[in-house]
Amino acid sequence: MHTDSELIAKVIVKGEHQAFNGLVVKYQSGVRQFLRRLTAGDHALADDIAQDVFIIAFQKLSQFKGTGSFSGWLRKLAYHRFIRVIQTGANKYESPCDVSWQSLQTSDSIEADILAESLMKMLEPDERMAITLNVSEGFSHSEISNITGVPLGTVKSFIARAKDKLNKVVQSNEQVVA
Amino acid sequence: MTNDTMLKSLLTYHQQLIGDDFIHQLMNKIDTAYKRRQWILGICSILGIIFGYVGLQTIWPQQWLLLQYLPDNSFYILETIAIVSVGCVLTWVFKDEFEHG
Repeated sequence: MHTDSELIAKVIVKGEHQAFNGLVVKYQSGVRQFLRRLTAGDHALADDIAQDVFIIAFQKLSQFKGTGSFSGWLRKLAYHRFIRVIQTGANKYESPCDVSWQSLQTSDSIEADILAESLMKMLEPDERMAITLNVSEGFSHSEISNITGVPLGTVKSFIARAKDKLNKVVQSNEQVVA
Repeated sequence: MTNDTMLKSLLTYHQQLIGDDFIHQLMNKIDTAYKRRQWILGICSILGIIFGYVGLQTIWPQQWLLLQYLPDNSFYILETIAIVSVGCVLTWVFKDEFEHG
């Protein structure tokens, strides 16, 4: 099993596409999940952006400095690509939240992911990015700031607002269940 | 269960996405883009050689011979610099090809 650095070196120095295939296999799920959250459940759009992200990553691999994680670098590319898409494309992100509150607790993993993606519709794109990187992926505030280029204070603000909005949903769900 | 714990359990990634089709499609796109780049590089190189040859032909008959008779040998210096420069450019352009076989 090769490390990320070894695979990256093989792609850059020897031009081995197969080594990049190894990186894609390792990281495709995380990047696609991240984009599914950003697009609030638009799987087709998320996969299209994910394809673009890996193509850009392949083209710019020599620019990866190795100071942070490769996973973080991919998230950075994904976030910037997503922002570009929503700035240039039709606004698909104003649909009302259609979460069924009674189903907030589910044991099915597919349903659970669809529910989490639906919850993202309540948030602004920046808030989705911050809360997903922080809560779903475990990045710290400063790491998110480094990855996205958003100031640390703004990242904290995005996360706080997102948590506030989602907590209201959770609380209202608890009331309904009670 | 606290709100933060509830949020964490709600928002965590619950499944590992299987990506055989995704990866296959992506690697095809990368291969296509790589081949396109090779074609563009090759065509541009050929065009460069053709235009360079045409340009050389336009000055060759008269000035080549005249330049040779310059008293200070500056023509030979220019000729050497030109040959070395072309060699450097060709090496730089095709460096990847030499290295990757």
